[in-house]
Amino acid sequence: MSALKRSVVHAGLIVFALWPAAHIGLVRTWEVNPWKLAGWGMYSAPQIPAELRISCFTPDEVGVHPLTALPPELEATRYEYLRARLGLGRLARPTGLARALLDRYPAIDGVSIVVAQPVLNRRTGFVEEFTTTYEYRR
Amino acid sequence: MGFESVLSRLDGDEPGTRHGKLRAFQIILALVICTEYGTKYLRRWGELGPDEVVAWCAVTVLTVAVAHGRWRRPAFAGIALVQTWYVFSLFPMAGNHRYLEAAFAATFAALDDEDGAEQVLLLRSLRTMVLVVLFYSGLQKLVHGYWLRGQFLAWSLWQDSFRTALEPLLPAEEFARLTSHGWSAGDGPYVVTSRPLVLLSNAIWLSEMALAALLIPRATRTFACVATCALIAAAELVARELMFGVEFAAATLLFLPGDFLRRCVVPAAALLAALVLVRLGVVPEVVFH
Repeated sequence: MSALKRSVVHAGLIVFALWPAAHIGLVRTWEVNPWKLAGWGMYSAPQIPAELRISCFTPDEVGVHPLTALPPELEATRYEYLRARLGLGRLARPTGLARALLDRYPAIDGVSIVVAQPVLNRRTGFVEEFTTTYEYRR
Repeated sequence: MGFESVLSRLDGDEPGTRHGKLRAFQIILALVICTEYGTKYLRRWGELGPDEVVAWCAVTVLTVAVAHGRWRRPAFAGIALVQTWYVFSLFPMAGNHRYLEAAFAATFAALDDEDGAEQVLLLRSLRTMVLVVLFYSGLQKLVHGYWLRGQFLAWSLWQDSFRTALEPLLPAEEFARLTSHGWSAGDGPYVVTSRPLVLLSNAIWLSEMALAALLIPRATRTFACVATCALIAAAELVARELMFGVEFAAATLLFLPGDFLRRCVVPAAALLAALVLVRLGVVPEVVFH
Protein backbone atom coordinates (compact mmCIF):
# COMPACT_ATOMS: atom_id res chain seq x y z
CA MET A 1 0.00 0.00 0.00
CA SER A 2 1.36 3.39 -0.96
CA ALA A 3 2.09 6.00 1.71
CA LEU A 4 -0.21 8.39 -0.17
CA LYS A 5 -3.15 6.01 0.00
CA ARG A 6 -2.54 5.40 3.69
CA SER A 7 -2.41 9.15 4.36
CA VAL A 8 -5.61 9.79 2.40
CA VAL A 9 -7.47 7.11 4.38
CA HIS A 10 -6.11 8.48 7.66
CA ALA A 11 -7.16 12.01 6.69
CA GLY A 12 -10.63 10.74 5.78
CA LEU A 13 -10.98 9.04 9.17
CA ILE A 14 -9.87 12.17 11.02
CA VAL A 15 -12.44 14.26 9.13
CA PHE A 16 -15.07 11.59 9.80
CA ALA A 17 -14.29 11.74 13.53
CA LEU A 18 -14.07 15.52 13.84
CA TRP A 19 -16.99 16.60 11.65
CA PRO A 20 -19.67 15.65 14.24
CA ALA A 21 -17.98 17.94 16.79
CA ALA A 22 -18.21 20.81 14.29
CA HIS A 23 -21.79 19.73 13.58
CA ILE A 24 -22.68 20.16 17.26
CA GLY A 25 -21.38 23.73 17.00
CA LEU A 26 -23.56 24.33 13.92
CA VAL A 27 -26.61 22.96 15.75
CA ARG A 28 -26.06 25.24 18.72
CA THR A 29 -25.15 28.33 16.70
CA TRP A 30 -27.36 28.14 13.61
CA GLU A 31 -30.08 25.70 14.71
CA VAL A 32 -28.94 23.17 12.12
CA ASN A 33 -30.98 19.97 12.45
CA PRO A 34 -29.05 17.51 14.65
CA TRP A 35 -30.73 14.61 12.80
CA LYS A 36 -29.15 15.59 9.48
CA LEU A 37 -25.78 16.20 7.81
CA ALA A 38 -23.89 13.24 9.29
CA GLY A 39 -23.62 14.57 12.81
CA TRP A 40 -25.06 11.31 14.13
CA GLY A 41 -27.55 13.20 16.29
CA MET A 42 -30.61 11.22 15.24
CA TYR A 43 -33.32 11.38 17.94
CA SER A 44 -31.24 13.80 20.03
CA ALA A 45 -33.75 16.65 19.79
CA PRO A 46 -37.29 17.23 18.50
CA GLN A 47 -37.43 18.37 14.89
CA ILE A 48 -40.41 20.67 14.44
CA PRO A 49 -41.10 22.37 11.11
CA ALA A 50 -41.19 26.18 10.97
CA GLU A 51 -44.09 28.28 9.69
CA LEU A 52 -43.95 31.35 7.49
CA ARG A 53 -45.80 34.66 7.86
CA ILE A 54 -45.46 36.76 4.76
CA SER A 55 -46.30 40.43 4.29
CA CYS A 56 -45.93 42.67 1.26
CA PHE A 57 -44.74 46.29 1.41
CA THR A 58 -46.85 48.57 -0.77
CA PRO A 59 -46.45 52.23 -1.83
CA ASP A 60 -50.02 53.08 -0.64
CA GLU A 61 -50.80 54.64 2.75
CA VAL A 62 -51.41 51.22 4.36
CA GLY A 63 -47.82 50.22 3.70
CA VAL A 64 -47.93 46.56 4.74
CA HIS A 65 -50.38 43.87 3.65
CA PRO A 66 -50.26 40.39 5.21
CA LEU A 67 -50.31 37.72 2.51
CA THR A 68 -52.85 35.24 3.86
CA ALA A 69 -52.68 32.78 0.95
CA LEU A 70 -49.72 32.06 -1.28
CA PRO A 71 -50.37 31.71 -5.03
CA PRO A 72 -50.35 27.98 -5.95
CA GLU A 73 -47.41 28.41 -8.34
CA LEU A 74 -45.23 29.55 -5.39
CA GLU A 75 -46.08 26.60 -3.15
CA ALA A 76 -43.14 24.56 -4.43
CA THR A 77 -40.73 27.45 -3.67
CA ARG A 78 -42.22 27.81 -0.18
CA TYR A 79 -41.92 24.06 0.45
CA GLU A 80 -38.34 24.07 -0.82
CA TYR A 81 -37.40 26.82 1.64
CA LEU A 82 -39.15 25.15 4.60
CA ARG A 83 -37.34 21.91 3.77
CA ALA A 84 -33.99 23.71 3.67
CA ARG A 85 -34.89 25.49 6.95
CA LEU A 86 -35.68 22.18 8.64
CA GLY A 87 -32.26 20.83 7.68
CA LEU A 88 -30.00 23.87 7.77
CA GLY A 89 -31.69 26.02 10.39
CA ARG A 90 -30.87 29.71 10.15
CA LEU A 91 -28.21 29.01 7.53
CA ALA A 92 -31.11 28.74 5.06
CA ARG A 93 -32.51 32.13 4.02
CA PRO A 94 -35.82 32.66 2.14
CA THR A 95 -34.21 34.72 -0.61
CA GLY A 96 -35.59 32.53 -3.43
CA LEU A 97 -39.13 32.80 -2.07
CA ALA A 98 -38.82 36.58 -1.69
CA ARG A 99 -37.53 36.92 -5.24
CA ALA A 100 -40.40 34.79 -6.54
CA LEU A 101 -42.91 36.98 -4.66
CA LEU A 102 -41.38 40.19 -6.02
CA ASP A 103 -41.60 38.75 -9.55
CA ARG A 104 -45.20 37.61 -9.00
CA TYR A 105 -46.38 40.96 -7.62
CA PRO A 106 -44.71 43.77 -9.63
CA ALA A 107 -46.68 46.48 -7.74
CA ILE A 108 -45.18 45.77 -4.33
CA ASP A 109 -42.07 47.46 -2.96
CA GLY A 110 -40.80 44.53 -0.95
CA VAL A 111 -41.65 41.56 1.21
CA SER A 112 -41.23 40.61 4.84
CA ILE A 113 -40.93 36.93 5.65
CA VAL A 114 -41.20 35.96 9.30
CA VAL A 115 -39.97 32.46 10.05
CA ALA A 116 -41.73 31.19 13.17
CA GLN A 117 -39.78 28.26 14.59
CA PRO A 118 -41.39 26.25 17.40
CA VAL A 119 -38.75 25.00 19.83
CA LEU A 120 -39.21 22.71 22.82
CA ASN A 121 -37.74 24.48 25.84
CA ARG A 122 -35.65 21.77 27.48
CA ARG A 123 -35.95 23.40 30.92
CA THR A 124 -39.69 24.12 31.11
CA GLY A 125 -40.87 21.45 28.66
CA PHE A 126 -43.14 23.94 26.89
CA VAL A 127 -43.07 24.64 23.16
CA GLU A 128 -41.90 28.19 22.50
CA GLU A 129 -41.83 30.13 19.26
CA PHE A 130 -38.77 31.98 18.03
CA THR A 131 -39.12 34.27 15.05
CA THR A 132 -36.59 35.52 12.53
CA THR A 133 -37.62 38.33 10.19
CA TYR A 134 -36.18 38.73 6.71
CA GLU A 135 -36.97 41.85 4.70
CA TYR A 136 -36.35 42.19 1.00
CA ARG A 137 -36.79 45.48 -0.89
CA ARG A 138 -37.08 45.81 -4.61
CA MET B 1 3.00 6.55 12.92
CA GLY B 2 1.12 7.98 15.91
CA PHE B 3 -2.28 7.69 14.26
CA GLU B 4 -1.42 4.21 13.04
CA SER B 5 -0.73 3.09 16.61
CA VAL B 6 -4.07 4.56 17.76
CA LEU B 7 -5.85 2.63 15.03
CA SER B 8 -3.97 -0.56 15.89
CA ARG B 9 -5.85 -0.65 19.21
CA LEU B 10 -8.83 -1.75 17.12
CA ASP B 11 -7.03 -4.90 15.90
CA GLY B 12 -7.59 -8.30 17.41
CA ASP B 13 -8.88 -10.83 14.91
CA GLU B 14 -8.48 -14.57 15.03
CA PRO B 15 -6.07 -15.71 12.30
CA GLY B 16 -7.67 -16.13 8.89
CA THR B 17 -11.01 -14.50 9.77
CA ARG B 18 -10.54 -10.99 8.41
CA HIS B 19 -11.47 -11.65 4.81
CA GLY B 20 -14.52 -13.74 5.73
CA LYS B 21 -16.02 -11.07 7.96
CA LEU B 22 -15.26 -8.32 5.47
CA ARG B 23 -16.97 -10.25 2.67
CA ALA B 24 -19.97 -10.90 4.90
CA PHE B 25 -20.26 -7.22 5.74
CA GLN B 26 -19.88 -6.26 2.08
CA ILE B 27 -22.79 -8.48 1.09
CA ILE B 28 -25.03 -7.31 3.95
CA LEU B 29 -24.21 -3.66 3.23
CA ALA B 30 -24.97 -3.98 -0.48
CA LEU B 31 -28.21 -5.88 0.22
CA VAL B 32 -29.34 -3.23 2.71
CA ILE B 33 -28.67 -0.41 0.23
CA CYS B 34 -30.45 -2.27 -2.56
CA THR B 35 -33.42 -2.99 -0.28
CA GLU B 36 -33.58 0.64 0.82
CA TYR B 37 -33.97 1.79 -2.77
CA GLY B 38 -36.42 -1.02 -3.54
CA THR B 39 -38.72 -0.47 -0.57
CA LYS B 40 -38.61 3.32 -0.89
CA TYR B 41 -39.27 3.39 -4.60
CA LEU B 42 -41.86 0.59 -4.63
CA ARG B 43 -43.98 2.87 -2.45
CA ARG B 44 -43.75 5.59 -5.12
CA TRP B 45 -44.10 3.28 -8.11
CA GLY B 46 -45.48 5.25 -11.05
CA GLU B 47 -44.21 8.64 -9.92
CA LEU B 48 -40.47 7.97 -10.07
CA GLY B 49 -38.25 10.35 -12.01
CA PRO B 50 -35.79 9.01 -14.61
CA ASP B 51 -32.85 9.70 -12.30
CA GLU B 52 -34.45 7.61 -9.56
CA VAL B 53 -35.10 4.72 -11.94
CA VAL B 54 -31.47 4.85 -13.11
CA ALA B 55 -30.23 4.91 -9.49
CA TRP B 56 -32.43 1.96 -8.54
CA CYS B 57 -31.31 -0.11 -11.54
CA ALA B 58 -27.68 0.82 -10.96
CA VAL B 59 -27.78 -0.16 -7.29
CA THR B 60 -29.43 -3.47 -8.13
CA VAL B 61 -26.75 -4.34 -10.70
CA LEU B 62 -23.97 -3.17 -8.37
CA THR B 63 -25.36 -5.28 -5.51
CA VAL B 64 -25.24 -8.35 -7.75
CA ALA B 65 -21.64 -7.49 -8.58
CA VAL B 66 -20.75 -7.16 -4.87
CA ALA B 67 -22.42 -10.48 -4.05
CA HIS B 68 -20.65 -12.17 -6.98
CA GLY B 69 -17.39 -10.79 -5.70
CA ARG B 70 -15.19 -10.47 -8.73
CA TRP B 71 -15.92 -6.78 -9.42
CA ARG B 72 -16.75 -5.77 -5.88
CA ARG B 73 -14.36 -2.82 -5.63
CA PRO B 74 -15.59 -1.00 -8.75
CA ALA B 75 -19.12 -1.93 -7.68
CA PHE B 76 -18.58 -0.25 -4.33
CA ALA B 77 -17.18 2.80 -6.11
CA GLY B 78 -20.45 2.89 -8.07
CA ILE B 79 -22.53 2.48 -4.90
CA ALA B 80 -20.61 5.33 -3.23
CA LEU B 81 -21.38 7.54 -6.25
CA VAL B 82 -25.08 6.64 -6.21
CA GLN B 83 -25.30 7.35 -2.48
CA THR B 84 -23.52 10.67 -3.00
CA TRP B 85 -26.04 11.53 -5.73
CA TYR B 86 -28.85 10.60 -3.33
CA VAL B 87 -27.48 12.82 -0.55
CA PHE B 88 -27.15 15.77 -2.92
CA SER B 89 -30.56 15.22 -4.51
CA LEU B 90 -32.25 15.32 -1.10
CA PHE B 91 -29.89 17.83 0.52
CA PRO B 92 -30.10 18.70 3.38
CA MET B 93 -32.73 16.12 4.34
CA ALA B 94 -31.03 12.82 3.41
CA GLY B 95 -30.85 10.46 6.38
CA ASN B 96 -27.52 9.98 8.13
CA HIS B 97 -27.38 6.32 7.15
CA ARG B 98 -26.92 7.38 3.52
CA TYR B 99 -23.76 9.28 4.44
CA LEU B 100 -22.54 6.28 6.41
CA GLU B 101 -23.26 3.91 3.53
CA ALA B 102 -21.38 6.21 1.14
CA ALA B 103 -18.41 6.23 3.55
CA PHE B 104 -18.44 2.44 3.97
CA ALA B 105 -18.74 1.91 0.21
CA ALA B 106 -15.95 4.40 -0.57
CA THR B 107 -13.68 2.61 1.92
CA PHE B 108 -14.39 -0.77 0.31
CA ALA B 109 -13.64 0.76 -3.08
CA ALA B 110 -10.39 2.32 -1.94
CA LEU B 111 -8.86 -0.58 -0.03
CA ASP B 112 -8.23 -4.12 -1.21
CA ASP B 113 -9.79 -6.65 1.18
CA GLU B 114 -7.29 -9.34 0.06
CA ASP B 115 -4.09 -7.34 0.38
CA GLY B 116 -2.58 -7.84 3.86
CA ALA B 117 -1.81 -4.23 4.80
CA GLU B 118 -4.88 -2.79 3.08
CA GLN B 119 -7.09 -5.45 4.64
CA VAL B 120 -5.90 -4.42 8.11
CA LEU B 121 -6.48 -0.73 7.39
CA LEU B 122 -9.89 -1.53 5.91
CA LEU B 123 -11.05 -3.25 9.09
CA ARG B 124 -9.60 -0.50 11.25
CA SER B 125 -11.39 2.14 9.17
CA LEU B 126 -14.77 0.43 9.36
CA ARG B 127 -14.41 -0.08 13.10
CA THR B 128 -13.43 3.57 13.58
CA MET B 129 -16.58 4.66 11.76
CA VAL B 130 -18.73 2.46 14.01
CA LEU B 131 -17.13 3.98 17.12
CA VAL B 132 -17.59 7.52 15.85
CA VAL B 133 -21.28 7.00 15.03
CA LEU B 134 -22.03 5.26 18.33
CA PHE B 135 -20.13 7.75 20.47
CA TYR B 136 -21.56 10.88 18.86
CA SER B 137 -25.05 9.41 18.88
CA GLY B 138 -24.80 9.44 22.69
CA LEU B 139 -22.92 12.73 22.90
CA GLN B 140 -25.47 14.60 20.78
CA LYS B 141 -28.24 13.37 23.10
CA LEU B 142 -26.24 14.63 26.07
CA VAL B 143 -25.26 18.06 24.75
CA HIS B 144 -28.67 19.05 23.41
CA GLY B 145 -30.19 18.28 26.80
CA TYR B 146 -33.46 16.68 25.73
CA TRP B 147 -32.65 13.28 27.23
CA LEU B 148 -31.59 14.34 30.73
CA ARG B 149 -35.16 14.59 32.07
CA GLY B 150 -36.93 12.49 29.44
CA GLN B 151 -38.19 15.46 27.40
CA PHE B 152 -37.38 13.89 24.03
CA LEU B 153 -39.13 10.61 24.84
CA ALA B 154 -42.13 12.57 26.14
CA TRP B 155 -42.27 14.53 22.89
CA SER B 156 -41.88 11.32 20.84
CA LEU B 157 -45.16 9.94 22.17
CA TRP B 158 -46.87 11.43 19.10
CA GLN B 159 -45.58 8.35 17.25
CA ASP B 160 -47.49 5.06 17.63
CA SER B 161 -44.38 2.94 18.11
CA PHE B 162 -43.07 5.17 20.93
CA ARG B 163 -46.51 5.23 22.58
CA THR B 164 -46.73 1.43 22.57
CA ALA B 165 -43.22 0.98 23.96
CA LEU B 166 -43.28 3.71 26.61
CA GLU B 167 -46.84 3.51 27.93
CA PRO B 168 -45.93 0.82 30.52
CA LEU B 169 -43.33 3.18 32.01
CA LEU B 170 -45.76 6.04 32.61
CA PRO B 171 -48.66 6.49 35.04
CA ALA B 172 -51.96 6.50 33.12
CA GLU B 173 -52.75 10.18 33.79
CA GLU B 174 -49.26 11.30 32.79
CA PHE B 175 -49.43 9.24 29.60
CA ALA B 176 -52.80 10.80 28.76
CA ARG B 177 -51.46 14.31 29.45
CA LEU B 178 -48.30 13.87 27.37
CA THR B 179 -50.14 12.37 24.40
CA SER B 180 -52.60 15.26 24.37
CA HIS B 181 -50.00 18.00 23.78
CA GLY B 182 -49.43 19.57 20.37
CA TRP B 183 -46.44 21.30 18.78
CA SER B 184 -47.66 24.89 18.81
CA ALA B 185 -46.26 27.67 20.98
CA GLY B 186 -47.52 27.24 24.55
CA ASP B 187 -48.16 23.50 24.21
CA GLY B 188 -46.71 21.31 26.92
CA PRO B 189 -45.21 20.76 29.34
CA TYR B 190 -43.32 17.77 27.98
CA VAL B 191 -42.05 17.08 31.47
CA VAL B 192 -41.89 13.57 32.87
CA THR B 193 -42.23 12.63 36.53
CA SER B 194 -41.94 8.87 35.89
CA ARG B 195 -38.61 7.78 37.33
CA PRO B 196 -38.31 4.65 35.12
CA LEU B 197 -38.67 6.77 31.97
CA VAL B 198 -36.08 9.30 33.15
CA LEU B 199 -33.72 6.45 34.03
CA LEU B 200 -34.26 4.83 30.63
CA SER B 201 -33.69 8.15 28.89
CA ASN B 202 -30.34 8.67 30.60
CA ALA B 203 -29.33 5.02 30.28
CA ILE B 204 -29.63 5.26 26.49
CA TRP B 205 -27.16 8.08 25.82
CA LEU B 206 -24.85 6.83 28.52
CA SER B 207 -24.87 3.30 27.04
CA GLU B 208 -24.07 4.57 23.56
CA MET B 209 -21.02 6.48 24.73
CA ALA B 210 -19.88 3.77 27.14
CA LEU B 211 -20.27 0.97 24.60
CA ALA B 212 -18.22 2.93 22.07
CA ALA B 213 -15.43 3.03 24.65
CA LEU B 214 -15.88 -0.63 25.63
CA LEU B 215 -15.60 -1.79 22.01
CA ILE B 216 -11.93 -0.75 22.01
CA PRO B 217 -10.24 -2.97 24.66
CA ARG B 218 -10.11 -6.61 23.58
CA ALA B 219 -11.14 -7.74 27.06
CA THR B 220 -14.54 -6.00 26.86
CA ARG B 221 -15.07 -6.15 23.11
CA THR B 222 -17.28 -9.22 22.89
CA PHE B 223 -19.53 -8.00 25.73
CA ALA B 224 -19.74 -4.54 24.14
CA CYS B 225 -20.54 -6.08 20.75
CA VAL B 226 -23.43 -8.12 22.14
CA ALA B 227 -24.69 -5.20 24.24
CA THR B 228 -24.53 -2.81 21.28
CA CYS B 229 -26.51 -5.22 19.10
CA ALA B 230 -29.08 -5.59 21.91
CA LEU B 231 -29.30 -1.80 22.17
CA ILE B 232 -29.79 -1.52 18.40
CA ALA B 233 -32.48 -4.22 18.46
CA ALA B 234 -34.32 -2.47 21.31
CA ALA B 235 -34.04 0.89 19.54
CA GLU B 236 -35.37 -0.55 16.29
CA LEU B 237 -38.45 -1.92 18.05
CA VAL B 238 -39.35 1.72 18.62
CA ALA B 239 -37.64 3.65 15.83
CA ARG B 240 -38.40 1.01 13.16
CA GLU B 241 -35.40 1.98 11.04
CA LEU B 242 -34.87 -1.71 10.42
CA MET B 243 -32.49 -1.49 7.49
CA PHE B 244 -30.14 0.87 9.29
CA GLY B 245 -30.41 -1.43 12.30
CA VAL B 246 -29.31 -4.45 10.26
CA GLU B 247 -26.47 -2.51 8.69
CA PHE B 248 -25.16 -1.02 11.93
CA ALA B 249 -25.47 -4.28 13.86
CA ALA B 250 -23.49 -6.00 11.09
CA ALA B 251 -20.84 -3.28 11.22
CA THR B 252 -20.64 -3.69 15.01
CA LEU B 253 -20.14 -7.45 14.63
CA LEU B 254 -16.94 -6.66 12.71
CA PHE B 255 -15.42 -6.10 16.15
CA LEU B 256 -15.81 -9.75 17.13
CA PRO B 257 -12.51 -11.64 16.96
CA GLY B 258 -13.99 -14.54 14.99
CA ASP B 259 -16.07 -14.46 11.82
CA PHE B 260 -19.51 -14.86 13.36
CA LEU B 261 -20.70 -12.23 10.88
CA ARG B 262 -20.51 -14.81 8.09
CA ARG B 263 -23.33 -16.70 9.77
CA CYS B 264 -25.45 -13.55 9.77
CA VAL B 265 -25.59 -13.10 5.98
CA VAL B 266 -28.47 -15.50 5.36
CA PRO B 267 -30.65 -14.27 8.28
CA ALA B 268 -30.00 -10.66 7.25
CA ALA B 269 -30.89 -11.43 3.63
CA ALA B 270 -34.07 -13.21 4.79
CA LEU B 271 -35.10 -10.22 6.93
CA LEU B 272 -34.47 -7.80 4.07
CA ALA B 273 -36.43 -10.03 1.67
CA ALA B 274 -39.30 -10.04 4.17
CA LEU B 275 -39.28 -6.22 4.18
CA VAL B 276 -39.53 -6.22 0.37
CA LEU B 277 -42.47 -8.65 0.61
CA VAL B 278 -44.13 -6.33 3.13
CA ARG B 279 -43.74 -3.44 0.72
CA LEU B 280 -45.16 -5.57 -2.10
CA GLY B 281 -48.16 -6.42 0.08
CA VAL B 282 -47.43 -10.15 -0.01
CA VAL B 283 -47.13 -10.35 3.78
CA PRO B 284 -49.03 -8.19 6.33
CA GLU B 285 -48.00 -4.56 6.74
CA VAL B 286 -45.36 -3.77 9.33
CA VAL B 287 -44.38 -0.14 9.84
CA PHE B 288 -40.70 0.47 9.08
CA HIS B 289 -38.62 3.31 7.69
